[in-house]
Amino acid sequence: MTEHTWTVRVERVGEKHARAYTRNHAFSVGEQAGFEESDPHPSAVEYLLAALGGDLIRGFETQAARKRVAVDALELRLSGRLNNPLTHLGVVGETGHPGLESAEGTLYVSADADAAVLEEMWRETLTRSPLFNTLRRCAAIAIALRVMP
Amino acid sequence: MAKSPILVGAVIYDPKVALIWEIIKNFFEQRGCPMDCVFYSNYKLQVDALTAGHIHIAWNSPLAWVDAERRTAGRCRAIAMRDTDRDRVTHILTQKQNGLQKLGDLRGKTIATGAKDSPQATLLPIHHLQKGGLQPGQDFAVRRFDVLVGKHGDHVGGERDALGSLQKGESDACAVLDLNWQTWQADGTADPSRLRVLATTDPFDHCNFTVLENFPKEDERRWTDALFQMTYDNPEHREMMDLEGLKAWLPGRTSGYAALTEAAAEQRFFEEEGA
Repeated sequence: MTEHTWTVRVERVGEKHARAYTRNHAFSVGEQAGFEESDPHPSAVEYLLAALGGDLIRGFETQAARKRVAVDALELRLSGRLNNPLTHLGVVGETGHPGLESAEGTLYVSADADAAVLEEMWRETLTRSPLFNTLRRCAAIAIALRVMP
Repeated sequence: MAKSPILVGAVIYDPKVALIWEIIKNFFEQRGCPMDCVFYSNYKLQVDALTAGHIHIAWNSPLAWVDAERRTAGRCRAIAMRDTDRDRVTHILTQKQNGLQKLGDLRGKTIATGAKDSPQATLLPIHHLQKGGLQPGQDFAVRRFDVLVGKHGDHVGGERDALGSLQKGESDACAVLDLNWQTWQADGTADPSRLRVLATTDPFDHCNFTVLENFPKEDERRWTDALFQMTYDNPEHREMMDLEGLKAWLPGRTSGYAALTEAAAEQRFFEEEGA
């Protein structure tokens, strides 16, 4: 088995603001889990969901290239819930845990292919996804494929 | 040496409530009165913590105040409250079309209430009916909506469900706090052309900041001095005050809890809770 290691360096750069550096990129992380309507930076939970979404979009794109399918548009909407966010806030007497409980969403695809072909590409995308295969072992992940005209 | 923080307990049912307390905490820090918040899932745990000395101040529901007073044999005091905590009333609503005119007309009827530990939506309106000569279970049936029990009706879900039960015709009356009645008329949840106020309780007080008798007066003064600096005229304070639903902080008073104390005893609330 070939091993490959990815490394991220994260440093505190200010109040409620961490900066992550990886290879030639840098990005800001705000709260662990944000509950405000708006925040200066995305939260760690949002990065987790965005990472899963990015993984699946990129994976589907790879499958499309392999099948020579032209994709017009690809968009994923994803929502996640913690088991009990009040435990994250340290509320005395709450039970459960602050971990991800579930994520659900829909991948909208508009492409020049039959629905059956797109379904097969989606199954293969999920099979090969690093993050989907990590998260589905600890949370209920349900993402549907919706073929748009 | 830095002053040690005053520990303030609060019951929260939604992470967004924690955000309000974060703003309040920062407000106190900026005024040289460091404060930390300890959150509880229910008022029983909070009163446990107050009486055990784990926290200095508890933001108590009226029922938690009654409980604290009961468990400390009166050795506690209310140091501050919102202007909106004073002189609240609960309305008993009916559908206009059902022709009920007075309290006695509720005999043989079903009354929807909030959670079993909601002062405004259960304990006080039932007490009001009892004072009017109607006994629950004998003279009228109670359809209770136990949403988030332990939080003393802070969460309006049970009260709103009770209103829904009246609106659907499943109940003949329901109990709602005056402030919720106003809000629900304004936002369209309740249609005042179809509903009417059949009866109204006597005024009662709602939440207060509770401390034990031995809480140092100097710390109390330091903390309330900071609290009373919060003014609605200051735009920086207004957002926080709107979130907490007040225009002014006032000194605490305990004259508005007599009816609830009676109601809790009459309905054997604490005995049934095993507290």
